[in-house]
Amino acid sequence: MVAVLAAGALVASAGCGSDAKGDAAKGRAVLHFHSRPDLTPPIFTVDTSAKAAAQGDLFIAPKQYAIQKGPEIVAPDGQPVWFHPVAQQATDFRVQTYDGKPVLTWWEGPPAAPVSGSGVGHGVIMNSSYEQIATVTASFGPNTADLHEFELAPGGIALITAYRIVPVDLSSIGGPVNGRAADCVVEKIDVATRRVLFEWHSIDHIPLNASYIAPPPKTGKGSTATFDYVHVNSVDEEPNGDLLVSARNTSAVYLIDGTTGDVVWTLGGKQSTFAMGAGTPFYWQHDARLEPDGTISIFDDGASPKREKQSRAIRIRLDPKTRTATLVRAYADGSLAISQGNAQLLPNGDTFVGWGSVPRVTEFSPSGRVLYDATFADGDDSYRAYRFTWTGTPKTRPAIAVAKGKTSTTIYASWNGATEVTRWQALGGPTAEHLAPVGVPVRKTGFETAMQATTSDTYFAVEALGAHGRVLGRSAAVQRGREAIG
Amino acid sequence: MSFNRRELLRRAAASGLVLALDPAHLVETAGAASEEPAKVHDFVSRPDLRPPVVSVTTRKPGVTDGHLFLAPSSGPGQRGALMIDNSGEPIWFRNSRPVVAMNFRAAVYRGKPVLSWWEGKTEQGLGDGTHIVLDDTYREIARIPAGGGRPSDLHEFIITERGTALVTAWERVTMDLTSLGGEPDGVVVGGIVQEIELPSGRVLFSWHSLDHVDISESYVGVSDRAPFDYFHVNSIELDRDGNYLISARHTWTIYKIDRDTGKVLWRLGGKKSDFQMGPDSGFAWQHDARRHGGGEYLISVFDDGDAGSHQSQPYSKGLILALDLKRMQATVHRKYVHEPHLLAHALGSVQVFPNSNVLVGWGTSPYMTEYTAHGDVVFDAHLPHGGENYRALRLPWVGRPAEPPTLVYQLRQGVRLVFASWNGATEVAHWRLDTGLRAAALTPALHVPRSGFETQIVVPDNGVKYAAAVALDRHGKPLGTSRVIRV
Repeated sequence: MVAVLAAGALVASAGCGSDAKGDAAKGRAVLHFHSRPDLTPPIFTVDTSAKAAAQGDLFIAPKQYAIQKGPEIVAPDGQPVWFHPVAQQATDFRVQTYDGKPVLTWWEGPPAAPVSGSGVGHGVIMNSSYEQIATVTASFGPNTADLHEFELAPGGIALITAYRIVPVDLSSIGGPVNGRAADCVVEKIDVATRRVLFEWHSIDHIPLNASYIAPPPKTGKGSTATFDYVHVNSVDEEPNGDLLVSARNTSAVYLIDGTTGDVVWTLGGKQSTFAMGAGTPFYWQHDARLEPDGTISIFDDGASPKREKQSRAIRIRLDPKTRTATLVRAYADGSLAISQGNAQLLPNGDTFVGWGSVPRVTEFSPSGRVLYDATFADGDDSYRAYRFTWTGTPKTRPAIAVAKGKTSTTIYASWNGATEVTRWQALGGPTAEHLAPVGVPVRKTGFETAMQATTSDTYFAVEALGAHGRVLGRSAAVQRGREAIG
Repeated sequence: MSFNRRELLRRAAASGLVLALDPAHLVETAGAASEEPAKVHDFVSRPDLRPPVVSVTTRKPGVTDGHLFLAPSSGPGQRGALMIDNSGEPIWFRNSRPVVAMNFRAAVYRGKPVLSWWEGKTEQGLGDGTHIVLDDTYREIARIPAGGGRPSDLHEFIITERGTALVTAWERVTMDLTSLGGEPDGVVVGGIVQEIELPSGRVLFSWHSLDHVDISESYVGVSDRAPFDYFHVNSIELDRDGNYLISARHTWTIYKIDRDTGKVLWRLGGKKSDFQMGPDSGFAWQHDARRHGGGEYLISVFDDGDAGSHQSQPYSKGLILALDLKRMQATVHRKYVHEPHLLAHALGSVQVFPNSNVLVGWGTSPYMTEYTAHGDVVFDAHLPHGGENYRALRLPWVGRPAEPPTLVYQLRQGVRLVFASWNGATEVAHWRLDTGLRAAALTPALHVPRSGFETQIVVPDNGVKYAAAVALDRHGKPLGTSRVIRV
């Protein structure tokens, strides 16, 4: 006598605390699960999910106001697949390839140091069993990698950014003689040996007057502030080893020679190598990537300060002969990101956009039709967002909670990160050692599946079933009113 | 040029300067402004290493040569194997978290100098872990558990001249404890002494306390909460005649064990002492029994005198006892007491040097004190409050790390600084900073004496862009070079 009770989790807005008022409540509406009371991921609301949209789950990392911050995989229906709260913040959560295998990667650490909008932490690489297999930091020591980029390149190489503060004479641009500037560092690191294979410093290659932000005042209290004149926010390795580097505070994208570090060309900003065609100028941009068709994909924030009405995901084609930049595509839907954001070209040709400071993700068809659209955690943000197909087989056990009602028992089953579960089989018995199936397998309804049974059993467990009814895992056996996490 | 590091930190903090690129210290920097001495080291070049600060309060001529080998197992900072110099500065540190390290020492294995320590988890004062052996480049060459699949206890790991190791282990046995007021099926922990072949771990000698020492010898009461750890072996010494001397904390006894039969040849101390114990020669909850003397039979031991719940003496002491094996009498040969008095409720060590100086490690009172033969204190140091240290040993050691030196840049108060360190390199006397406009063309710029674990160097203000640090020995010979960094 088993029946599906409810589709997934109890939804509870955090209205129970006195702090759930006004802005403090932003991003605090979370999901609760009987079997995993330790996990409270943000509510993810799907507004559009067309059949024509790409396959795959959504990858975000809420980090601003969420009660629990950290990498999260979300199914297209908005249900969590895997949630991994971290102590501080996570950014750039996605699937990449390491050692020939798909892995989960993200940056983790505390934010806002050494300059506003940067971070000091390390990159994390996790295998498909959710085991951490490597961490990556900058050459300056543990936890010195900036939050903006954690890209894995072929050959077990990581591309990361870091910050360094250097003394500079800022008088040529109206700042103090004894000024300080943020030197943006790009490093190629061999993940296994931690060896630095390439190191690039903005201070050696990008002039101070390229910046769109004002230097600190000549004298007075603010004169020793650090001038974050470049603010590198993405690094993409090209097939020949050159690096495509995006710098927000010069509103420019640079191609860097992978051997000498010299700037091969500059796209956009005050010193563009290319004449910028109609619709190509971008401001405070993020996430510059060279796409397989030779175009350059950029997330053009257009703010802040505001230079455009809405943020855009754009694709630009460069003509090296005529030195012109032409707009190929632009996708926008009314959101204006004042920071962060990214655009991912999906295998089917769609463009998946994470709107940075706006907690929203949108998939556009090549013609610009919105095929998928969702928001999460009002007021929160995710530095980047992606869509990937992912297979995860956790080493943990399924989780179970058993609630006793007046006439029946409800069994809650979940398995954080297990993507291959299709059905759940409830088991019951008089002791933990003597369990037998209770009813028939029930279709998985979301992160947590609830099953109701009328039975006199005292002990319960759940079995996760995959394709063809194969048992993928079994929870601990618990008594009524108890729970067992993995 | 390179002024005192703590002073610099204090100034930097007082100025409210945020230490860029030094995330681990962003929070702690503010705390450095207080008058409290730092309890934990923090290094710009090695922020991953956070050993506790060892404060040296007495340092006089006559201190024995060698470095101090410690393994802080509680209190502020990371746990791990810690080698320090006589000023208290770390020479080498290895973080053992999440487990603890104990019994860190230098030794000789197959004719070569090695480091060894035990690493694992402890419960009720007994260990479950592994002995780790490193070569003089700090590469791990062996991990040795106890023999016969036994849990490897923390207390002893002595590599003998014959290439074997003496190790302690333990076993749980169900016994009738009604004679001691316990249960008929009580659980007793017995001590095990093994001599094992290296590196195979084959057991060459095995001695089980329960076969030879009755549970009634114990000074520990039977409890229904914890297994009855009646014996608690905590040191093994190979005596000159090839037999073993073992110390059992919970019977207050040092046993001489026949190497062939395992028979107890005599007992020193405790309820069944074969020796008449002279004035002040008794000991309780003792550690680290070692044989000394040529013609005379001397034994050094750390007399804790306390086990937390059971204090039998007002304070702990280092003891050297003289044994008269004809009259079977034990008398105090030397006695070492700390001023002010210290009372260790566990752990502790006594090391006797060839010049008759003695180093006492005060265990859970985390002091280490070196005395001359006449009892004068020539060295005294301690871990921060809350720290504990199993044994304190002073031993010679030359380390040549396989890893290169580390050099890290940092801007402080507008001054470009670099910080050089080389964890475990014992022979570095100076650092040479090579600088240049191109990474591939550096020239020597300046020499700075090594000022401790980490040496701070001000980058010359002549527009140089790159730097590397070269470690030099006292003859100026280069020992190793850091990576070239942008400055």
